[in-house]
Amino acid sequence: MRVSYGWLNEYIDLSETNPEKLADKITLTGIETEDIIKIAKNAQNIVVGEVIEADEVEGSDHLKHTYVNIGKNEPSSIVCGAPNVAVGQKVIVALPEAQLANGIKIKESKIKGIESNGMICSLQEVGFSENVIPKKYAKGIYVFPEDVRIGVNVSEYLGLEDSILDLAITPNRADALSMRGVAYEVGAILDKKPQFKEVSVEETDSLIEDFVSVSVEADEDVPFYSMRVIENLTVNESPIWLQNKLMLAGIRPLDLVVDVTNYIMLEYGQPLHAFDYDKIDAKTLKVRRAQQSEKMVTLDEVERTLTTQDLVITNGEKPIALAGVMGGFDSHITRKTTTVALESALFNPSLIRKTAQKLNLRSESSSRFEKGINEGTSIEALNKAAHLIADLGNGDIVTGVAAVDNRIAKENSVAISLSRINRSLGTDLTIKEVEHVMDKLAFPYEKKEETLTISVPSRRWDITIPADLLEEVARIYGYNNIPSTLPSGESIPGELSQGQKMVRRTQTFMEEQGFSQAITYALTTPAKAKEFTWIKGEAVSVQWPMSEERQTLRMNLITGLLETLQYNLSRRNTEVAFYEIGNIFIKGEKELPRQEKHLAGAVTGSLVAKNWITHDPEVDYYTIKGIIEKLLESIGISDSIEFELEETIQTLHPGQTARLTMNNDIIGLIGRVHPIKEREHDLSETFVFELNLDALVKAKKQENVFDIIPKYPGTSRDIALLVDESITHAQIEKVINKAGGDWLANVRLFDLYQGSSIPKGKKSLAYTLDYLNPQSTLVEEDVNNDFDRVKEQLIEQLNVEIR
Amino acid sequence: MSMQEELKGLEQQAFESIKNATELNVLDAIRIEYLGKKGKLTQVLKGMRNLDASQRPIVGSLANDVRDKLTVQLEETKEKLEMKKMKEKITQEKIDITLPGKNIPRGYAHVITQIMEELEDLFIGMGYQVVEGPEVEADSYNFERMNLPKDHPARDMQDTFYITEETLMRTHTSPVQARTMDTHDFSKGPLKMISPGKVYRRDNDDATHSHQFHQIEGLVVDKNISMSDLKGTLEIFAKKMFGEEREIRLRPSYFPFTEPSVEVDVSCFRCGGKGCSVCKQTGWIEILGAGIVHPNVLEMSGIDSTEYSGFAFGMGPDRIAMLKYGIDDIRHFYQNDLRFLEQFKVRR
Ligand SMILES: [Zn+2]
Repeated sequence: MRVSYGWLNEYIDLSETNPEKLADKITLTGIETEDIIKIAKNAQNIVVGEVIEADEVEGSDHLKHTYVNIGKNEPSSIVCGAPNVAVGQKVIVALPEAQLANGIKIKESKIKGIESNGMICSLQEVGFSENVIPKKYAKGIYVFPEDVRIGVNVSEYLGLEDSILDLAITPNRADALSMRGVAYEVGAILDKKPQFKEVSVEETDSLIEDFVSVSVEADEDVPFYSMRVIENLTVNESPIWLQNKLMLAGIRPLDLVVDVTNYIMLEYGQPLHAFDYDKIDAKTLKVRRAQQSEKMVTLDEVERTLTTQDLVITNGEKPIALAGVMGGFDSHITRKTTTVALESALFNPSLIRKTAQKLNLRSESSSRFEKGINEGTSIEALNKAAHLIADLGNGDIVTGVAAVDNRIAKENSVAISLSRINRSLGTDLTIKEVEHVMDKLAFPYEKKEETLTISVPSRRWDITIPADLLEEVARIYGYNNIPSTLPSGESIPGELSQGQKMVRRTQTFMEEQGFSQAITYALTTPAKAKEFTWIKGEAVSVQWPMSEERQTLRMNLITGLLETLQYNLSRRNTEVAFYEIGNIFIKGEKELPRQEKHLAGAVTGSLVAKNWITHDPEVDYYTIKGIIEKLLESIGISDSIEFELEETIQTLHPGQTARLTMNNDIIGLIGRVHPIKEREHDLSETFVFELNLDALVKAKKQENVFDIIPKYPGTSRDIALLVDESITHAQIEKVINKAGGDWLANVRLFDLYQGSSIPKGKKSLAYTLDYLNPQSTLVEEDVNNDFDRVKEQLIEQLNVEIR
Repeated sequence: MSMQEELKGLEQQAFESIKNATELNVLDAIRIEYLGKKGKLTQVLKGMRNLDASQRPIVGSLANDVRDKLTVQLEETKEKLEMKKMKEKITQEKIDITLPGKNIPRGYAHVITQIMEELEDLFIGMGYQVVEGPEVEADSYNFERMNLPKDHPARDMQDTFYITEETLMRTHTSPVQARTMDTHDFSKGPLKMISPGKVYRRDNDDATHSHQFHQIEGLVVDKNISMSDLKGTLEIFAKKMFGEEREIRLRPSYFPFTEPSVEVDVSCFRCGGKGCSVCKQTGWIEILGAGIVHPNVLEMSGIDSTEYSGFAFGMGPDRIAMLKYGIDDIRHFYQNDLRFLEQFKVRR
């Protein structure tokens, strides 16, 4: 809402303040002043002049040599390039030293040898934006009406130096979408009563009944509908004061009737609509829902197809206006209009909102209907508009108002006690101070002991419950005056949950392994959502995505990390390793999808840069596996987690991928990205993992228990085996563990060899077996027996050759 | 030559050899030559059996004396030579201590995570629980329970990613608060919580808009919670987060789920309030929205609004990080360029 400081000053004395101070106060008490706008930073030396001569300039096809009376003894010689300049016009003259909106300073000069001591200006040139300038003056210089005084600064008529407070109105304060509403607000802030002139309507002998009657189909759609008729009218331009008020408010002047309806909308917040009475072609108007597929041409000459969700004004047959949104083309006001039917109404806000949104026709008027209107001034606004139109257009107001009033008379009174106020705000106010706040707001009230019952004026329809009054007290009393305290109730210690702690530890762990944390988008493509996962199920998509790239919720985190790797590598970042902790989503049986918190990582190349000491090897499957094993060890899950070969996930290398299972449930994946996928992302060998963190949080954990540090030394035996290539380490380890005996404490693979010095199709593995008896020294013979048993079993079960 | 003379001569001879020895192995050879099992001293002592019984103790004592002296001399010289040798070795072991240290892998925590954890820890210290919730929410929890019924003008369908008629990507973390209020047992104490997490708006991504961003909302419900409690709590937040000298200012605003509602400004941490480009010359930076929980919101969770009251606040870690570090483009957070992430490597 653009509020002219000058206009506001007509209602409330602002002589003791200034625009900047007032803007600050308005912001701190309730409505944010986003900006203070001035049409011109400096309007000095810009005056009204009258063109008294205008001659062609020799050798130019567009320049004119003018003499302009600027109220001085001598007229000014000015060369003007505007095509529409003519003798007798009163125009904007920028004299030497004047500064135009584009920053150019006017200087005395000579054009084609002719003295030019100024410039005749368009409205743009003095600072108005093109969309508020009357169409007539959109191109070329502006011409004042006859009655302006020559020589005075143009600001007197154009408000160039007025301050316009640009207020950001929150949905609850639609009362301030009107100058009167703002005046009451400023009155409360400054502790001054706004003054408004009485509205009088002089009516003729004609009767409204002879012109029009109105009816409403559904009461709840149209709480109030009223109409006046003004006849014998001449529709011209509106006077400059009226045009200027609209331009400062950001509305383009059109003609007297439309301008007055806009002016009243700005003053009261009540949108009005004017019909050319003679084109309505009926004496009975009916407000009803449109029929399905009913058509009408709106003011902007677009044919609209309506539905039963749209509200229309009809002439009994066909729609002549889209209620609250836009008038019809057929009955719009023209310069030929002589009789006007003027509507002031209240419509169901949500119907107006839906129609305006559906047809993309949001306007000053529809947005006011959506947000609410002061029901107390609908008739007053209608009367004042009728009066102004008749007065300025030499028309006659027909006696009476055609109206349907479905409003349920209700007294809006809200009570609040002093103790409630002080308890809720943490203040120590007296009843007198609260009364003073209500007086400033001009809210009538009754006092009963320490409780006030406020009769809320219709202009503040946002106030319905005691909490609303608390806000009024807080803001008018001043938030700065409210003390600072802390909640005084019982206190319970705050702490992170086990899961949250685990997430934090995991983050630190991953960072220490060289992985940086990424946060990627949860929305992706339907195809990418389902890559790299063991999870069966459907993905979840949004109904109206903003782009194809962001339409389906991810079921894995790896895809996002691969994109991150690619993004970094293409920017020549090296040693890129990323992890992410985030949620994935699977369509569920219930209303909401299943949400699981996952940890994923991706790395390509090596984890550290090449160094003068060591050339760190490229990362491989075993690097990632080692990291995951360490992570799982620190989490300390009781149940064993198995690594099993995973060959079925399309996007992963079928020979280098493992699924992790716990109690037969899959809880994660480790592996190499499928070479086809690597090529797709421009990546060399890339290794990834993803774990279901929720499952790890829920899993049973080991307890840390203190055990005596063994007093007796252990012993160890090494064994080297030659086995078939197809035999896995897990198989060998299992046999060793099973046959190992009571004192086998640990089995460690320390060498793996495959190559020319051993037979084809075979591989050599070497293990260290550690033996320990915590109770006593091991007996050499016992260990030998145990070790021999292991050898036997390896030969028997896996057909190994002991080397 | 008497045996005494012989021993003295031996001693003299040995001392001379020790003195001239410059290598440890030479010294060891001297030790064996004189003190070894077949050494010269042993040879001399073998001749003792030919001596008078009266002479034996005298010569024996002298022989022991020579042995002790030689042993001491050998030890001392050995120590000296070893020291000399170590000194030489140390000189050779000199390295270029300015060469870079061995590369240890190190990743960086995301700056948003750092801001979120800082905020979480701050409120945990004040007795708050950290509660997370579903990112895909029921319309009823995201809007209706926040006092935004289906036809409310403040509910802009265009801004919301709907999944079905009744489910959507949450537009704020407030639904977590409604879910927690539903189940909180007030006999076990007041409700003090923050809800951090990702939220979504139907926006085109550009420098200042992101369809995915983060939010932390806070909620306290108890008997007698007041506006002044909110003000005091947020003052602590502003000082801890932006510096001890920070002040806050409350401005009336509108949120459907709080009444009264306020916007909270923090005095500019860049210019201290004098006015600069960060605060658009106002001295204040808008940092969060807050208010007293609307009675409808409490009642919808079955909390008696005549007995209990609460305050709520909400802020955006993305915006806080942008302000704190002067980050110019919100997309940096989701592009994960290492050159961006590693700028926040110092953990506080
Ligand atoms: Zn500043």
